[in-house]
Amino acid sequence: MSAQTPEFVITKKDLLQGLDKALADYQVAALTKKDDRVLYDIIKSPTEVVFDYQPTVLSPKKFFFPQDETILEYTADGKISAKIEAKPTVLFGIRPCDLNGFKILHEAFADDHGDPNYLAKVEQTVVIGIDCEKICDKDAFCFKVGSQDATGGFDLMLYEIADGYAIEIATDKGSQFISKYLTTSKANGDEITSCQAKKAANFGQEKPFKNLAKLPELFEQNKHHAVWDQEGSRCLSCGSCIMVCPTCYCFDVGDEWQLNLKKGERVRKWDACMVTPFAAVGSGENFRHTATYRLHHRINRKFNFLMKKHNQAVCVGCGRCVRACLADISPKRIAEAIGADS
Amino acid sequence: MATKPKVAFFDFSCCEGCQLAAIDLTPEQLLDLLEVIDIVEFREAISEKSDSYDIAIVEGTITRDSDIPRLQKIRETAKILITLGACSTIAGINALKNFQTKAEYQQDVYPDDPTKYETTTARAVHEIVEVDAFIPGCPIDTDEFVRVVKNLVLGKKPDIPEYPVCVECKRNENVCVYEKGIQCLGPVTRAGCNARCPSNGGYCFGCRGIIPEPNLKSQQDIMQRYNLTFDQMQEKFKLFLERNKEVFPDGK
Repeated sequence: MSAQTPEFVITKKDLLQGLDKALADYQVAALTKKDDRVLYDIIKSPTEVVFDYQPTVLSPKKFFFPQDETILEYTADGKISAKIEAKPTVLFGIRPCDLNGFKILHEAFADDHGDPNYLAKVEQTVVIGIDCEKICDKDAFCFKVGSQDATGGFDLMLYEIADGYAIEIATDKGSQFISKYLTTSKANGDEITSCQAKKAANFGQEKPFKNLAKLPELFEQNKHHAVWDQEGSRCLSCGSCIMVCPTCYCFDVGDEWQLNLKKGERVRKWDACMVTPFAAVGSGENFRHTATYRLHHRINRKFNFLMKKHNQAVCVGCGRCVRACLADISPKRIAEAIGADS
Repeated sequence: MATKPKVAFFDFSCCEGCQLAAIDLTPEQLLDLLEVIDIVEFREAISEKSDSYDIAIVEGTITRDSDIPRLQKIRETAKILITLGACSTIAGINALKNFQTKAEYQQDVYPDDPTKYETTTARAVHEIVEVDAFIPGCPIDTDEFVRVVKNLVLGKKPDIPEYPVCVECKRNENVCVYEKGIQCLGPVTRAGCNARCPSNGGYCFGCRGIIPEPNLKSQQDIMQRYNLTFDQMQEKFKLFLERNKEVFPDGK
């Protein structure tokens, strides 16, 4: 990764004060604690922010592409109106895997179709990333798929330095956020380089798959590899891997009438290609009728079909699906089995 | 809407809690419900009875031979028959007795006069007559009941999920109960309850029945990997799933 030159540095105290100031104009979502969970959620005060990263169940994609979203309202007498909901939002402390996820989500929702519900949210959101100094846990494999550094998806990126952060500015929106809310001082210019040196030392020998760029080709050649059935036979088709994935963007659309049948809403909700009925059609045919077929499809989306489209692995190695899978199925293990690293 | 469909509720062996859950609505919702359907028989809510109805909503398990002609009469009368709750859909906890012999459960329940009351193997409604739609759960989810009613009135197929509870549990961003050392039937149990139990400090008992094409082998391997003996695991399955031939192939 090329070394960025930071323009500003900020103390942690000033950063928290800046977030507090932003709370007057924005809803702020950050890593926080709720009951026994650590998750990305709306905070009321910067004191609620958890700075020490712990993997979350869901990725912060839910702020751009919520689990359920009303996209139309209609009445029985034929009035139809689009419903687009967006609020000024700051997403604070998003990590490189999820920022790369945002980038892929953006290419899917903005570049191809210009999804208005998604775009309205993006327009009103300021994304502030925090770089990871070390690997978060044993299941993360961002470094294997080239996602340990954020290549996009943020307005500002923070790199931890003594007593605060160096700030990389990616967009005008980020720049404006600094001038309005953050008290900063001039950077020396070498802060990010030293952070990256420290990160490289912490990541040590954990390097990308040797054949990362060739994954689409390898997956194409290994359609019938034994690994598909070995992993697929354990799959519960429970859909957990999809729900937690930062780059899965399939959804289902349904109409929900009010009980009086006078008004209704069209709602889209996350769908999951790993559950049995996903590819079933009206005639009763199911185009991917076994868990092995479904797993093959999902992993090929990440490392083959969509990798060619997005020019990067569409699995960002966050490890959420590995943690969520009771049957212990891992995209990393599948990639290794078909020769990603040999 | 031309005429409102006439709807009748019937109960067999059960606690009638699902009937109560069906009308656990806001006053506005209740009035809206009565705008779209005409309830002609409903023991928990009205005193009228009727021999003419379009939709029969049947609650409870079939546990006596004398239940059968009554159920058959309901089936003949109704254009559409829907089961309401675990007891009528999968026989529910009433089927626990099927793990015993008749003599044993008669003795357990009425030790002083075991043969005083008629009883036999507990069965789900679909084992006796054809069922058009199932509303599962112990108890049912009120929102799901409302959705099914709306779908029927609109002439649509009731939309009961065929994916498991894990989907809803993850959407709710719960930490998996297995991580807390608790074994759960969520991965093989039909969703639609919005993962009510695991989202509120519990775990899935399987009350909504098993999804189509469950990977029971993998589910069993996982439960044993998380420290359950085979017998302990079977106990978890027994509570609601006695009638499921995939889970209990040797069942009655």
